[in-house]
This record gives sequence, C-alpha cells and structure tokens, in this order.
Amino acid sequence: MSEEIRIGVYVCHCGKNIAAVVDTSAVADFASSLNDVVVARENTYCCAETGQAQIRDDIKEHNLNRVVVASCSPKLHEPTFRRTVTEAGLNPYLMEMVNIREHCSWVHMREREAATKKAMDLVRMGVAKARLLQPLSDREVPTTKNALVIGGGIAGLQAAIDIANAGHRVYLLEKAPTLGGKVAQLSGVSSGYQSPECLLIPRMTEAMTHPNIEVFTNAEVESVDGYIGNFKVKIIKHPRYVKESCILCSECSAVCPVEVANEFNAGMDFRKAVYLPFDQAAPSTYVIDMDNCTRCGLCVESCPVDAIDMEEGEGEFELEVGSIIVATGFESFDPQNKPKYSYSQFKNVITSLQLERMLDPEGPTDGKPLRPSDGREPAKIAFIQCVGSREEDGNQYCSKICCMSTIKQAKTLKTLFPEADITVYYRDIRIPRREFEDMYRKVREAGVLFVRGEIKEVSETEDSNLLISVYSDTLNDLIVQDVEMVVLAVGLEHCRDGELIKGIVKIPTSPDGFFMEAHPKLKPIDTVIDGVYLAGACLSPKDIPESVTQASGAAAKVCGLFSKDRLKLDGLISKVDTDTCIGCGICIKQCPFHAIMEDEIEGEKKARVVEAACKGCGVCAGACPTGAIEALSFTTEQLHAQIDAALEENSGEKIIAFCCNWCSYAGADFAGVSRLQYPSNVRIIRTMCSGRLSKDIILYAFEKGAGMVLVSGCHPPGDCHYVSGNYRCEERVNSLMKSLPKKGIDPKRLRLEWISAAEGVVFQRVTKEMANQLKDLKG
Amino acid sequence: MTKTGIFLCVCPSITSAIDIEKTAKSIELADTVVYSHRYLCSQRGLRFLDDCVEKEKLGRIFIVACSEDIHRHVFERAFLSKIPDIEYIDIGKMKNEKDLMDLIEERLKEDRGKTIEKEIMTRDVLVIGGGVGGVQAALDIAEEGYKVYVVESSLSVGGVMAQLDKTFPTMDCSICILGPKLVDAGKHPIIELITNADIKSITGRAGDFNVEVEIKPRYVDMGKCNGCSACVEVCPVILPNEWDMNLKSRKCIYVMFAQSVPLRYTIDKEKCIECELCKKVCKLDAINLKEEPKRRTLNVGAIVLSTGTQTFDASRKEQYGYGRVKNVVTNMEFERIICASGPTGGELLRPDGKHIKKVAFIQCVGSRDLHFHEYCSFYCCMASIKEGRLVMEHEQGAEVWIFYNDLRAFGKGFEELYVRSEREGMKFIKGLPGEIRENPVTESPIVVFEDPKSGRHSEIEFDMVVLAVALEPSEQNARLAEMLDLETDAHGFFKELDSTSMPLETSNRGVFLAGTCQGPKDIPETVAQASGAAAKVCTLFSQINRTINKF
Ligand SMILES: Cc1cc2nc3c(=O)[nH]c(=O)nc-3n(C[C@H](O)[C@H](O)[C@H](O)COP(=O)(O)OP(=O)(O)OC[C@H]3O[C@@H](n4cnc5c(N)ncnc54)[C@H](O)[C@@H]3O)c2cc1C
Ligand SMILES: Cc1cc2nc3c(=O)[nH]c(=O)nc-3n(C[C@H](O)[C@H](O)[C@H](O)COP(=O)(O)OP(=O)(O)OC[C@H]3O[C@@H](n4cnc5c(N)ncnc54)[C@H](O)[C@@H]3O)c2cc1C
Ligand code: SF4
Ligand code: SF4
Ligand code: SF4
Repeated sequence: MSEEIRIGVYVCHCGKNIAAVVDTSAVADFASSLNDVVVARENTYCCAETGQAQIRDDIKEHNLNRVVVASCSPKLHEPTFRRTVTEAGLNPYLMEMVNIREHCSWVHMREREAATKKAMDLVRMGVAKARLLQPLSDREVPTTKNALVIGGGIAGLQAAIDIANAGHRVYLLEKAPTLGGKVAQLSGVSSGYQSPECLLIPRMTEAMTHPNIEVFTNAEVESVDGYIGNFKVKIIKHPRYVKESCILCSECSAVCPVEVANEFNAGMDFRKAVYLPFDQAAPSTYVIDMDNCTRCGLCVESCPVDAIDMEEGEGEFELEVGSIIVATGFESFDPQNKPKYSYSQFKNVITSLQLERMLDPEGPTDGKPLRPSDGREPAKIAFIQCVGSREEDGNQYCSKICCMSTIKQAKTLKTLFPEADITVYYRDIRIPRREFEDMYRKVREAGVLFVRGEIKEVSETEDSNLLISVYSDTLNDLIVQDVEMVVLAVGLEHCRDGELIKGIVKIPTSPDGFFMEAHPKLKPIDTVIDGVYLAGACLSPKDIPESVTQASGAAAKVCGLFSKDRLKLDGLISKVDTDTCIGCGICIKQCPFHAIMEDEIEGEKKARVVEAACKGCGVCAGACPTGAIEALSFTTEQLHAQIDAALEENSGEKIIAFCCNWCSYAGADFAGVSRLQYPSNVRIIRTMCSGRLSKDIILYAFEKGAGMVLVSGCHPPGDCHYVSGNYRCEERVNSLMKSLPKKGIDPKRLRLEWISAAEGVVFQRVTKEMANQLKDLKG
Repeated sequence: MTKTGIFLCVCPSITSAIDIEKTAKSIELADTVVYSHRYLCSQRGLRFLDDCVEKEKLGRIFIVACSEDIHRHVFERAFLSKIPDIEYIDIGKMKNEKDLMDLIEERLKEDRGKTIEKEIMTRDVLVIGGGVGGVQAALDIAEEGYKVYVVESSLSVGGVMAQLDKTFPTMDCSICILGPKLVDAGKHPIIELITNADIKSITGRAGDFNVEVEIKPRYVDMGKCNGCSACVEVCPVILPNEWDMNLKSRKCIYVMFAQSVPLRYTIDKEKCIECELCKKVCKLDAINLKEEPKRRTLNVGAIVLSTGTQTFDASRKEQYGYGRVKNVVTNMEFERIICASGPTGGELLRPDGKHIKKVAFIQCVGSRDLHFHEYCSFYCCMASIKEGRLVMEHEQGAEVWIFYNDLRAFGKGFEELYVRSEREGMKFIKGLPGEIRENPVTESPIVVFEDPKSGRHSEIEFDMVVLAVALEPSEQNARLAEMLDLETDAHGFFKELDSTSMPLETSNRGVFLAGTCQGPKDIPETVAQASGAAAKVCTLFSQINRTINKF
C-alpha cells in the first residue's frame, strides 16, 4: 500500500497519575522524533472531552491516519478512543493504545528516569505497531432474545422476573430440586416489614407461573458455546422421579424407610428419601433423592395418583439464548475447618444457620432454640463473630452479613428468653444497613453484651457447658466465660457449584474465589465476557437488598441488549491468505471454535474462516506452518515490529513479556492498580490469547537480542478464554524449550507462567525473579 | 348468580391484630364461600385456589392477604384470564375484624361492572440528579431505547465522584473512570442533559408525569460557547473556588471543573461587575449578560431519583474544632488537597506551605452519633484508608493514624485493603478522640484521646487532621418527595417500597431510586442500583397498554 502514514501521538498526564513519575514532555518530544509521527502532544486528561476533541481536531487538521494514545490500560479506554477516532472519520482499528500508567508510572513510582525511558520504549512499540494497522470492519449478528439465568435464589428469581416482565423469554435453571436458595432457610430478615417467606414465596410462585419463564430445577449446565447474542447452552435435567401430578398427600414419605439428615434444617433433623424440600417448595412436587433411595418401591405402591416413576431418565435440552446471568450464590463456611471452635466436637456449638432454622416456627424445634445436648432452653448464650472470615490464614474478606444476622438473632433470642445472658464476641461490628444501627443500639439497651476480643479456644465442661477463652485487647488479658450454647456466626464462601460454571462460562474469579466483575466501579454487574452478567452473592458476600438490586441491574443489561435486533461484534478475526495456504488443515484442528472450514479453490485445498464464528484468538495463526493465516490487529508483522522497537536499545537487558489479553495482561494491570513495584526492564506485548504465539515469534525475540522472554496466559485447565489456547501455547513453548540449546540459547531465558487477572502479585514476583535471573545469567 | 370466594391467608408471618382463622369461621354472607389457607401466595396456595374456583364455579374472588404491592400481581397473573374480578384486601391495613368485615361487605355490594381501562404511557424518562448514579441510570435506560432527560442542579453532571482523587478499594483514578461516562452521556443521541436547572413542579402519575423545569441563566450561550476559555483570561474578578472547597481560586466566568460536561462557561452573576471584558474578547459572541431564566415542560412516563447526598457540616461537632483549629479539614477537602487537579497540584501541602507528613483521620464525624445521625455513612472508613494510603504513597515515611469506632470494611476487596494498609504501617486506634486543640506555635492540631492499650490520656500533634464526615440527605429531598407524594425516612432519605426486597421501587409506581439519595452507599453499589432502576423503568414500560382493573 502506498498510503502515506501520518501518525498522531498523545501522551496523557492522567492528572498526576502518569506525569508525577514519567516526564511526559520528554516522551512527547521523543515521539515527535519518530518516523511518520506528524504530531505528538501531551494532554492532562486525554479521555476528557477536551482531550478527545484535541485528537479529533488533529485528525482533521493534520490528516492523521493513525493515532497512538499513551495513557492508561486499553482495557479501560480502548473503546473510548476508538469512538473518538471514529467520530473524526477514522476507522476505529487505526488507533493503538500504549499503557504507560498501569504498566509504567504506577509500577515504577520511585524510578522517574527508568520509567520515562520505559515509556519512550512503549511509545516506540506502539508507533511501530500503529504503522502497520489496517482498517477492519465490525461484524453484525442477529440476537436471540431469550435469556438464561443460572441459580434460582433470590437474585436469580429477581433477575428472571424483571426480564420476563420486560417481555423476553427466560430460562431459569436451578441445581436443587426447588427454587429459593438460602433465603428459604432464614427465619427472619427483620429489616423492612417482611419476613423471608413474604419476599421469597411470591417470587417463586411468580417464576413458576409467569408465561415468559420456563423453570428447570434439578438441572445443570453442561456446556456453553457461542458468543453474545448467540449462546448455545446444553443443560441436563436430572430426574425427579415424581411427576407433576403429585398432590402433596405425603403418603410416600410416610412409608419411606430411609432417613437422611435434612439439609434444609441444617442437618438438625431427618427427612425421608422421598421428600418435599420444604412446605412451600416450588415446584411443589415431591422428589426422590436417588443417592439414598434403596429402590424398595414402597412409595410407588402408596401413591394414590401413581405419580412416582422410578425409571424416569435424564432430560437433555439445548437452549439458544442471547444473554446469560449467573446467580449461583454462596455457601456457608464449614466451621469444622477451624478446630479452635470445636464445632461438631461439642454438641452445643451450633452455626448461625442452625440457629436460623431453630428460630423458624416451622423449624426442627418449632421456633424455640434448644440446646442440642439436652433439649433445654439455654440460659447463657454466646455468639462468636467472624468465623471463617477476616482471617490471616483463611478467608481474608469480611462476610458482610454476619454481624447484622447476629444482631437480628440476638434480638429474637432476647424476646424469647428475656432472662438469658447473651454475649457477642466480635472484632468490629459491621452493619451494612441503616435500619440495623438502631437495632444494634436497642439490643444493647436490652442487655445483650458486646465484647471485643479474639477467640482462643472453645472447650467443654462436664455438664456439656462450654468455656470460651477470649483475648481482650482492651483489657490486655485473657478472659474465660462459661456458657450453655455457642453460636458461630459463619462466613459466606464462594459456591463450589459455581466452580463448574466458572469452567463452563469462563468467568474469572478473584483470589477469594468469588466471581470477578469486569470493573469494580464502572461495571460491577458485567463480566469480561460480553453478554454474561452477575447477580447476587456469587460476586461477593451480599445481603438480600443488595442481591435483588444487582439482579435488577443485570436484568437492565439484558433488556438493553435485547432492545436491538442486531448487535455489533468486533472486527478482530483471522484471515487466510489463499496464496500461501498449503491446505495442511492444522489450523482446522487447532481452532477451538470450529471456525475454520476446508474449502476448495481451483482444485486445491484451502482453509476458510467462518467470520461469525471466529473469536479472534489467533490460535490458528500461531499454528500455521506457512504464516498463511493471520490474526488481524495481531499480525506476525505487527508483533515483529513491536519486538524490534522494544529491543532497539540495550536489548540484552530487556525482558519481553507476551501477555494474553484476558488474564496475564489484566494481571499486569492489576499489579499497576495495586501499585506493586517491579523491575522497569519488562516490555509487555499484548495478544488476545497466548495461543496466538508461534515458536517463530518467540524465537524472533531472542534473535533480536532479548535478554529474557516471558510467555504468559490463563491458568489451565479452565481459565482460557478460548478453551484451549493456553494448551496450544504450552505445547509450543515446551517444544521450543527443547530446541533452544541447539540454537545456542540458554533455555533458562524462556519462561512460561500462568497468571490470572487477579494475580498482580504473581506478575510482580515472576518479573522480579526473571530480572534477578537475567543479572545472574549475565554474570 | 355467580358465587364469590373469600380467601384468607393464614401465613405465620402476617402480623395482624386480627385472628384470621377465627374471622374466617365467623363470616356468613349470601352467595359466598369462605376459605382460609396457609401461604396463599405459594404454588400450593394457588393450586388450592384454582381447585376451589373450579369446584364451586366461583365468578369473583377476594384475596385477603398481606402487602398488596408484592402479592397482588401474583394472583392477577394466575387468575385474571379466568376471573376478571379479583379483589385484594391488604390485611396489614385493617385495624380490627370489624374493619375487615365492613370492607368486604362494602366491596361485595359494589357494582361489579368495572371499567377496564387502557393505561396510556409516555415512554420518556426523567432522571433527577446527574451524579454517577443518575448518569449510569440514564445510560442504561437510553440503551434500552428510551429517551432520557437528566436534570442536574449544578453546572455539570458528575456529582461527588468527580471531586474525588482516587477511589477505594482498587485505587483507580476517579475522574479517569468517571469522565468518559460523563462524555458518553453528554453525546448520547437520546440523552438530553439539562444542567443548572431546578424542578419547579411535578404532576401526574406513572406513565404521564408533567414536569416543570426552570433553567437558570448561564449568561453564556450554550450553543455558541466552545469552551475556548479566552474569557477567563480577561475576567478581572477572582473568587474562591467552591469546587476545590475554596482552597483555590477561580474567575467570575468559569467552568466547574476541567472535565465538566457540558464544557460550557458560566458567569457567576452575583459577583459579576458587568465590565463586559469577556463579551469583548469572545469571538463567538456567546456572552449575553441579559439572559433570563427559561422554563420547560417535560412529559415523561417514569422518574428516577438520584439526587445524592450532601456532607455533614463538621463545625457542628464542636470538640473537633473544625473552622476554629487550623489544619483540621474534612475528608472532602482532603480529597481536593491530594488530588492532582486540586489546589496544590497534588502536592501534600498545608495552606502555610508545610509538607504534610503526619496525618490523623477521625471517623464517624456526624455518623453513628445520637446527637447528629444515628446511621453509619458506610463510605468513610474505606475513604480514610484510601486517603491514608495516598498520603503514604506521596510522602515516604509519612505517618497515618486512623481513630475509629468499628472499622467497617465489608465490601469486595475492602478487608484486604485494610489488612494490607495495617501491615504497611498505617496505625489504627480503636476509640474516637475527645477533643482536638491547636498548638499555637506550630499551628498544628493536637489530638486528645485515650490510648486503648494503656487506658491512659494521650495527646499527639499532627500536621493535619482529617474529619471523615457523614453523608446527609440533600435538603431538597423533602420538596421533591412532596411533589411526588413519596415518603422520606426519619433522616430524610427517600424511602423505598420495602428496604429488604424492593429497594428500587417507591410508593409511587412510576418513581424509582438510584444511589445515595436512598441512603449512604459507595460507588459500586450506586452504579448497580442505577442499573437496577433502569430495569424497573423497562418493566414498567413494557406493561404499556396492559389492561388494568380500574377501581
Ligand atoms: C445465617 C445467615 C443469615 C442471613 N441473614 C440475612 C438477613 O437477615 N438479611 C439479609 O438481607 N440477608 C441475610 N443473609 C444473606 C442472604 O442469605 C443472601 O443475601 C442471599 O441468599 C443471596 O441470594 P443469592 O440468590 O445470591 O444466593 P443463594 O441464596 O445462595 O442462591 C443461589 C442459588 O443458586 C443455585 N446454584 C448454585 N450453583 C448452581 C449451579 N451450578 N447451577 C444451577 N444452580 C446453582 C443454588 O442451589 C441456590 O439455589 C443471611 C445469610 C446467612 C447464611
Ligand atoms: C470524601 C468522600 C470520599 C469518597 N470516596 C469514595 C471511594 O473512594 N469509593 C467509593 O466507592 N465511594 C466513595 N465515596 C462515596 C461516593 O462519592 C458516592 O457513593 C457516590 O458519589 C454517590 O453517587 P450519587 O450519584 O448517588 O450521588 P452524588 O454524587 O451526590 O450526585 C448527586 C447529584 O444530584 C444533583 N442534585 C441534587 N439534588 C438535586 C435536585 N433537587 N435537582 C437536580 N439535581 C440535584 C447534585 O448536584 C449531584 O450532581 C466518597 C464520598 C465522599 C464524600
Ligand atoms: S460482618 Fe461482622 S462477623 Fe461477619 S465477617 Fe464482617 S466483621 Fe466479621
Ligand atoms: S483459531 Fe481463533 S482466530 Fe483462528 S479461526 Fe479459530 S477462532 Fe478464529
Ligand atoms: S463507615 Fe466507618 S467512619 Fe463511616 S460512619 Fe460507618 S463506621 Fe463510621
């Protein structure tokens, strides 16, 4: 192409975020010295209206045909600046971002000079790539206006109802035999005027009867394929063994000989193998727990309406949906993991969830909490807060709801047993709801004692009473108290069943195991996967109001998506050069999405990309032996140009880090956001997937003199955004590793690491180690 | 003659003065059958209802149960096609049995040929308040395809978040993440920002509100001004800049802040000396000192309230000496001091030029205090940790002390940030100080407190003391509440329909809540709630032309 390249470079101060560390005017000067750069400017905030206007004006005035913005992470503002250049008539893909904030000023805060030098390198790399950028066009695809909601707790219910009310079809999928989630087990919520039944049951009924909602209980997601607007979901519905004609007469459970600990009552009583999870369960149909059923057949005989079918098989369904909401909730912390609380060792140590069940008029003790050891009313009760939360060696986070739930429970206990001594051992009282502050005062006025301290041990006395040893920092002493019952305010943990979803839907998780939102402030409901949203406690511990609020928020996102008939997908796909394609079919085998077909052109086999199905990972480009297939915007030529630019000076001292867009690049961003300082000789090159890298590209970096090369991607097995790109990358790196000595390259200079979006610390550690190693290697 | 069925719900959680079961037995009326059932609203209950309707060939039903807002539509959806005549009686509103009986009898006598009316709806939306909550709601609603007006009383959208430096827990730069959102809203083809404006009156109801808006004059023509700032240079009047908490100055013709949306100049007419220098220098002839207020009437189908909060006046807590002791500032002022775009260009300096190396943060100023606000303001513990970290980042070796009551770090990533800060040397002192005094020589504040470890009286001098002040409902809430026939809670925040399960809805079917105007919260919760409000607008509008029973 003979088009004259005219590049504009914009170096952002980001207030002082960048300018306090990087000498931005020196960087801008440097940029203007580069070939093809027509203008180079600094700007306090490139993303502000004036900053964007400057770019637009320059494009028109200076006839720019490429724009480089050196500012924050493209994960934050690539869409912003793409739009900016589009408004000035440029193709959005002719804009390249250079990350001098997360990857430079925030991680080299005390090295002004090195940071400035690095910023210059990064700008040189960006300009080198920009020269080779080509205009791309977005794809348009139709949207399927059905939604899938995974998880039928209060959050999933709310999301499903809102979407259904907006006129769209919703599939609501619940793993358990009934809708309701954890709220069904609560005895009171106390904020507001409603009891849990009042807020849950009508929603369950509504979901069951709503013409736009189809409920699948006892069901699981088997696989999810496709992309925003066009997901294909396979679900499996496990048999219930009892048909809808069930009239709830309970004859079957009366004759069933099998008794199983009742999970609904937190294991405090028994249910039969054929059972109704709870009175108001929806669907209101009995269910057989086949894991425990002996197939004796007594229930079949007892049923007056022949509703039991022991031979019912699994159902498999394929759903086409445009959007998915994940609302898989939480699990309660199991205090057996913390021996100091002696849970399950001593009978009178119970969890807050067990107390919830005992406080329920329909619970195992008819609403009167009794000591499990002797069924007596306890006269001295202690609550222990933060069990399984705020720990150094366990869950670090605060579970948010347990202080509130204790206050609520203490209040109810005080009403039931006005004479009882109630003490709460806490670290901080954290109340996330306004109304509870008042209740907190009132329970103290009613005589509930709040003692700040750290629990050392819970032991038992002969009469099954308990001794609590607490270290009080106000008294600077150990106190020992004798009580009759201990309630452990257990924390909330991420849902292990959610793990499955994580693997299937590919939503990254935070170090605490909960799902990670796309951006904690701007996009607290979105995930990094377009069209997939989060609701409720699967994101972090949340109370009911916050869960339903977020669920409605997720519904809004879905409604927004469904308000259009077609939606745009980006133009980042791959493209085959049929002249050089030898029809070997390797790309067809490696493409994780079956997006490449075999074609015949003039009698020769050639690869052809199915554009709507291509996700742009570039795994094919990394695999192609002749370089005939290219990942647009991440072409070999562009990657080479970036490597060249990065290594133009002092190549031997530099570490080239190839980072995949979703995990390791985001991990490096997170290191920046957390201000984790690491060596300034790292040069990051972004690709969509680690599977984009070919052996040749890695070798190219060594040929050009790189001191070290880091290849990093998402953790196997499940984190890769493109199913198996990380494995392809691993195969190639391993094979290259073997051949490096032959080429006279020390294999120690190449490293492969899996770094997730939340592992800023790992990115810091790895780069530090590599920098030290590089020093050692150089002697 | 059609039979009427009266169904009373005997839900164990109904707290009512009435013995429902007994009442059910005592009702004896012609052509009626009376039933009682536990959890009528459950699937089981509906099935029971259905059976009774079939068996007794009921032509009309009365549901006597709790909270109509939440339950009515459950029954309507299930039975409206079979029985167009569903009466709902909210037992919670009945004082005694007689009340209930009278109402039933009265309704029974009523003419049953009710008109079924079509609801007419305008599908435009009004968002009142353009903070991050209002802007997010506007963007989401516009995405759903509805036209949105955002009425903002100040000169720019952005709210409190625009004034912050960094935001917890991730420490991103506040304006960097907010700015583009504001720009998006400003440019959106179906969002119209009406800034510098006041709501004068609101009449009508869901689907058809009429709103009178007064747009105050800016004395600069919004259509002509392009934000070039030539006028600012010539303006001779120098005034304290409220945006920077009066720590910096501005001219009489000004923009609120650099990233203002819309980025248009405004003349502070009260202070203007009418020298007309700006008028002379403006090449676009945008200045009009005679501009008059304008009125507009908007017709909208739904309203989202997102008027945010104001901060507590720290001088009311006298013992902390705000306004009296030098170098005692509020956290909002501190955000500006530490902000790159703030008065000291991001350097940590006191007004007297001294570097700030030792800072104390005092929590719960105005919050959790029976003299002022009993509630917790939620954001301030984390805001102080955030600001403390910024101090430590700015000045190596700086000391940060946080005096607190309970350290409330309960959102995602909050506890982690707290623990990390403590590990990195931030000092946390349990217990609030009794008093703050000034050292007349150094002009530094002295914090007087009881050392929780030793129990002894202690005094420590700091370079600066930062008061973490409460968030209070905006004073204008009461006026808006009156116009919309809404309730506010004891503190003046807008009241949601039910604080646990319907936090977005209000007692007015067409009005929804987003952000801190409903109660203090942080940015993530505000943003999530704003999106939630957008969903409610969408569901309201999709019921357009739904036939409803008109009573
Ligand atoms: C002891 C205790 C007391 C509490 N007290 C209060 C209180 O007083 N007030 C208050 O506001 N909150 C309280 N809470 C918190 C409240 O329970 C939560 O806010 C609420 O349950 C969150 O709802 P959810 O829908 O997000 O999750 P859940 O209720 O956990 O629902 C998630 C649902 O998803 C299903 N699921 C999980 N994985 C899958 C999968 N892979 N496929 C399909 N389905 C799946 C689960 O079976 C479950 O039904 C309390 C919690 C506890 C433990
Ligand atoms: C010092 C400080 C530090 C903070 N730090 C953080 C932090 O680090 N992280 C975090 O998550 N949160 C933080 N917060 C909280 C955060 O600021 C709020 O959660 C957020 O700004 C709430 O947004 P909002 O839209 O609800 O309200 P606001 O930002 O208050 O916006 C309300 C808007 O409505 C306008 N308005 C008011 N009344 C009317 C009316 N009658 N008519 C028209 N317009 C009206 C106002 O002018 C304003 O623009 C902090 C708060 C403070 C005070
Ligand atoms: S809410 Fe209270 S009990 Fe629960 S983890 Fe947080 S501080 Fe501990
Ligand atoms: S491997 Fe990736 S880039 Fe290549 S065709 Fe398949 S989806 Fe597209
Ligand atoms: S968040 Fe912390 S400082 Fe703010 S009112 Fe609550 S407890 Fe006090």
